[in-house]
Amino acid sequence: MTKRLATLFRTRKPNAIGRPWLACWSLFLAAFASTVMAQEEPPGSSPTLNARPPASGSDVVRASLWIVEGKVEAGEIFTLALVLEIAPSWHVYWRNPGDSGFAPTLSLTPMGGFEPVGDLAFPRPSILGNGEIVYGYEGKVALFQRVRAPKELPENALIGAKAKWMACKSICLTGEAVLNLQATPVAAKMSRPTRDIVDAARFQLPTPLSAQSVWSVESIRDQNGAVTELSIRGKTASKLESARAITFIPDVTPGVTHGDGGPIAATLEAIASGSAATIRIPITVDAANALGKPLRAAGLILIGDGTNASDHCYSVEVPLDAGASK
Amino acid sequence: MNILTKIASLTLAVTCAGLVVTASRAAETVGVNQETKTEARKDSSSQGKAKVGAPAPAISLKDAEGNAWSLSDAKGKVVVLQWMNPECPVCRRVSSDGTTANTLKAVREAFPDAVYVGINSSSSRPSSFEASKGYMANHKLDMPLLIDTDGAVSKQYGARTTPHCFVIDANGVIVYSGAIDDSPSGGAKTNYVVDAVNALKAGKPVTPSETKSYGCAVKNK
Repeated sequence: MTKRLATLFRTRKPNAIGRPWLACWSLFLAAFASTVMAQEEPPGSSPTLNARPPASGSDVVRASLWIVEGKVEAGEIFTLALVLEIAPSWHVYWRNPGDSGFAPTLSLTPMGGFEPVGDLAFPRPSILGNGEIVYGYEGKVALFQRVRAPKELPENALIGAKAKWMACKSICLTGEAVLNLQATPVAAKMSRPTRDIVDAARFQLPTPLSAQSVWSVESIRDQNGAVTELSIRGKTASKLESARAITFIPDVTPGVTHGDGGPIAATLEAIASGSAATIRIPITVDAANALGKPLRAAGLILIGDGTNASDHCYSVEVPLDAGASK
Repeated sequence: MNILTKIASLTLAVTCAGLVVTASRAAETVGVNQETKTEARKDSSSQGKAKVGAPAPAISLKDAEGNAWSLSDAKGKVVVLQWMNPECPVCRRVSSDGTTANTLKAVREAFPDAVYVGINSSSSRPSSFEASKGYMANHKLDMPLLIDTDGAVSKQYGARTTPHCFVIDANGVIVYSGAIDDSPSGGAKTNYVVDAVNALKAGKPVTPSETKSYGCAVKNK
């Protein structure tokens, strides 16, 4: 058998087998190179994304913490960015994850005296899904947390924080990272790639719809005074916007349900000055399920799919009074 | 030496073939994901048939050890259903950190004859069904884990996540649907299932009766 194989190879002309082997070697080298590139360590503090197979969410999401706005001075407010670099084909979740999952969290350790101001701010999410509703992020994203420095700030202050997240593709993994950031005397400087992630996320932070005079929100009530629908109407801000999809996605609002929880597309109509968008959002209110929080309808209006510079994102928030309940 | 070279070449060829197969499979997977990204919610027509305030749909399943279980056998008792998947890290977390055990204990303190069952509807992941054997014993949970082989029960109830919990009163009416507690990553301050059962015990309305459940998607077909 060995002799026959040897004969077979010997009788072939080198050129006849050389090209397939060359292609094969190229494929092998390309695969090797892509593996090495995937394992290249990005900046940050949590472990690398190179575990095969991943055992936890920390193997598919790399977290790092940065000071991105303001100076760390006694009693002053500054902004932290939690940068998440997500392995290809995995995603993490928005504040409202959709049908399943949960949103990333960032908790500051109390020892340093740094205190959060307000909630973690999330940039515009993508509408993902695999037969279910998923709002989240693929690739790279930054979340923002405003922080107040302690009134007595040591010379070498460390900000300690713990980030937790859930990452999914066909399976889900949970991950966490303990992140310690030098705050004084000099904060760590971001690399250019990290700065790009932060800048892109900051650009995608929603702006309040109430600040946009071309949009209006109307609550439609039934004969008992209960809000049954929100009607959001607006002139599209540019010709480009009018050509792009406009979609509402609901926020987390205990006691208030927006449609079936999925994205709601706007209808566009021609008006004298151009075009207008209308989004009709069915609302169901049950004050008993508000978990002690103010009743509100809330969500985001997404222009386009987020890939274009004019793909703005607006936040909508409508307080609902007790009379709005069923 | 020449033979060894040929053998090395053959090994490389097999490796390359493997890479090609792997790459094509990965491409197929990506293709599926891209196609389904724009899909509406799967089984939207059948999701959420079970409503709070309405009678609980019938359940007749076998547990991971092969024992038959039927909701009708629990007639007249308070029943808690908790969707579970041994392959879901959130499910494993609530099983291992005492969340499920403490909920079970509190439910039985309120109603000693209460029935508490787990349901695994991961019909798209047979390995999860396999992992169900012994899962409860390994986590020292004195409750059955039912196997919803085709995911039909999860669709009837509109169960979306593991863990997603339902509380059914002694009249067979669903009085609570949603998360087991208020913290997806642990350290909860409020256990909604325990609150619901305690409200039943006190003869008070269950508040909240619905919350947003968290965790992994129920992996039904």
